[in-house]
Amino acid sequence: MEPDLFERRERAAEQAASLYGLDPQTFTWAAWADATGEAEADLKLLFSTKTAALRWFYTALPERIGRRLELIPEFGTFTLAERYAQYVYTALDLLDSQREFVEKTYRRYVIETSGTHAFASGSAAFFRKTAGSDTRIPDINRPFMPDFVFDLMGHAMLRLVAFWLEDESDGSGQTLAWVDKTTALFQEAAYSGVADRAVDLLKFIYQFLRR
Amino acid sequence: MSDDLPSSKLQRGGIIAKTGIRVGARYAAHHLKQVITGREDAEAKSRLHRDNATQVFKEFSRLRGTALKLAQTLSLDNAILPEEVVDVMAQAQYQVPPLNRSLVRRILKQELGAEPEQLFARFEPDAKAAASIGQVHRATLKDGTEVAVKIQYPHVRDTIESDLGIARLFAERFMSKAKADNYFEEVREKLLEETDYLNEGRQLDAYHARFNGDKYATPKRIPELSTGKVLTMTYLDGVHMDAFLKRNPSQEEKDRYGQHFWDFFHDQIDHDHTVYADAHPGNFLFLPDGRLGIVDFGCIKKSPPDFFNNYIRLFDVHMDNPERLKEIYSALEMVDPTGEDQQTEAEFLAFCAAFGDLFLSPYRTEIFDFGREGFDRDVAKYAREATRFTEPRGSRHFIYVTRLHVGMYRILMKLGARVATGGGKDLLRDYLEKTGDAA
Ligand SMILES: Nc1ncnc2c1ncn2[C@@H]1O[C@H](COP(=O)(O)OP(=O)(O)O)[C@@H](O)[C@H]1O
Repeated sequence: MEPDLFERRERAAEQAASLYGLDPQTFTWAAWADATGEAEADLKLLFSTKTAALRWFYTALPERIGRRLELIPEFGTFTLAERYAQYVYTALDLLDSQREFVEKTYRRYVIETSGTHAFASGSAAFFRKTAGSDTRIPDINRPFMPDFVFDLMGHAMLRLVAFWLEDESDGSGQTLAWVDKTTALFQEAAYSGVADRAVDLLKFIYQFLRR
Repeated sequence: MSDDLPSSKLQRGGIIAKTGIRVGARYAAHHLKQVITGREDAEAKSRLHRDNATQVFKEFSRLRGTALKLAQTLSLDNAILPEEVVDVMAQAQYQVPPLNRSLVRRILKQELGAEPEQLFARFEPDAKAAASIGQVHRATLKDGTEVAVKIQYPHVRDTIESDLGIARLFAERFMSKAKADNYFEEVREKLLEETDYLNEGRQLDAYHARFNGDKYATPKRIPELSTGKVLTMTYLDGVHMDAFLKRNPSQEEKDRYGQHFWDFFHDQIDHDHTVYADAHPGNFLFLPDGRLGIVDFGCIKKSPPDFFNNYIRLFDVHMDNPERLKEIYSALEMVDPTGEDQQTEAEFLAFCAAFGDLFLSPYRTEIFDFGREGFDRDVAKYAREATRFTEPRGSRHFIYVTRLHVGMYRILMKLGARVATGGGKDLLRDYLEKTGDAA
C-alpha cells in the first residue's frame, strides 16, 4: 500500500529529528532529502521549513499515537486505565525512538511554547473521548469529570514527558509505576464513583504539575 | 497542608515508587516470616503484631496527606502490617493484581524490542498465573511451541530494598543487630538475585540438563525471547497440588509423585553444595504423564561446603553417632559452646536432638507414610516449641537449605504420600563417606 500523506510526513519528520539529534549542523535540506529518499522539492511540499518538521514531530504526536493504538488487536477490550496507559507508553516509545532530539528540543518546542501545545490539547481530547465513550463509567459519576479534568491531564502529559526524560531508574521504572498507578486510580474513581478519590487525584495531579 | 508532610520532590517520588508495587513487600515479608519466626506459632505471632504494629504506624504516619491516602488506596498498608502480611501471605502469591495489559505490552516492547504480535504466533494478554515478582503469560511461538512467558513487575528491585528496610524495623525488636544484619544480608542477596531473570535462565538451563527426564520435567529456556526481566520457556502442562488433590487421586498416584519429591531432594545432595531452595507448592506441577514438573529456578542456594556438609552430617549424627550432636550443632551455630548461659544452651541442644530425631524418623523405616496419624501434628508441636527460645538461631545458610527440606516434608504430609526412603538414605551415606567426617 502507498504511504498516505500523513505517513510520508511522519517519516520525513522522524528523519529530520534523527539528523537534528545527531548534530543540528548537519541537518540540511540535502542531507534530509538523502536520508528520506524524497526529492528536496517534494520535502518542501511536505514541510515549508525544516523547523516546521521538527515542530510537527511533537504537534502530531496525538494522531501518531492514535494510529498506533488502532493496530493493537485487543485494544477494544482495554479498560479505561489500560487505554490511558497505552496512550502514554506509546507516546514515550515514539519520543524514545528519537531520544537525542527530544532531549535537545523538548523544552524549547513543547514546554516553553506559549498557549496550549497541540500535544497537550490533542492528548486531552483523547482522554476526554475515551472516557466519554466508556460505558463502564456510571452516569452518576460524570458530573465529577468536568472538562477541565481532561485539560489538566493533557498538561500532566507534557510534564510527565519532562519527568521521564530525567528518570534514571532502571527501565524508566519510576515513570512506568507512576503512570500505572495514576491511571489505575483514575479508573477506580471513574468506575466506582468515589467522589473524594477523584478530588484526591486532582490534588495529586496538581502537585505533580507544580514540581 | 502541614509542614511535616514529606514534600520534597525526591521524597514524594520515593513514596510513589513504593506504592507502585505492593508485591515486593509481600514477597519480602514472606521470606522474612521464615527468617523471623521460622515457625507458625500463634502466640508469638500475635505478640509480634502487638509490639510492632505501633512501631510501623509511627513510621507510616509520617507519610500523611495525599501520599498516605494514595498508599491506602493502593492498600500498601495491608501488605506492610505484619498481621495482614502473615495471614494474607498464605494466598497472596496467587492473588496479586495482574499488570494491566498495556504495561505488559510496554515491558515486552522495552525488553524484546517488539509488540507481542510480532514476537509470537499467539500471546495471551491476560496473565495465567501471578508470580511473586512478576506474572506468567501463555503464548505460542511461531514454530508452534507452547511457552510460558514470565514478566517481571517494573521497579521490583527498589521496592525490595525499601521494604527490607521497613521489615528490619520489626526484626530488630527481637533479635540482636548483628543477627539481623546477618540474616537480612542473606535474604537481601537472594531476593535481589531472584530479580535477575538472566541468572534464573542460567539456573534453569543447568537444572534442565541435569533433571529433565523420566521422573522430572523442567522447562527449556527460549534464549532469544529472554532478558533480565522477561523469561520465556517451554510450557509445562500440569496442575498444582491443590488441584491434583481435588481430583481424589488414588494412593498409588500420590505415592508416585511423593516419591519424586523425595528423590528430587536427595538427587541434589551431591552437587556442589547447591540445592533448589524454593520448595513451595506453587513451584511444582503434577503432569498427566506421571512426572513431577518443577518450575521457578530463581532461588538456588549454594552453601559454603562446611555448612552444607555439616547439615548433611546431621543425618549421620542422629542415626548413628549421637555423641557428636553437640559438636555438629555447634558447628552449625545452633548452640554456642562458649555462651554465658550454658543452661539454655543445653536445653536448646536437647530440643534440637529431639526435633532432629522426629524429623529424621522417615529414614528409620523402609517405607514411610507421611500421612501417618499425628506426624504433622508432632512436627508442628516442635516448631511451636522452638519459639520458647528467644532469639532465632543458626547459621544464615539454614534459611534456604531448610526451606527445601522442610518444604518437601510439608508437601509430602499434605499429599499423604508413602515413600520408599532407602534410595535417599543410600545417597546420604555415599555422600558422607565421600566427604569424610570432619566437623
Ligand atoms: N514453564 C511453565 N509452565 C507452566 N506453568 C508455569 C511455568 N512457569 C511458571 N508457571 C506458572 O506460573 C507460576 C509462577 O511462576 P514462578 O516461576 O513460580 O514465579 P516466581 O518465581 O516469581 O514465583 C507457577 O506457579 C506456575 O503455575
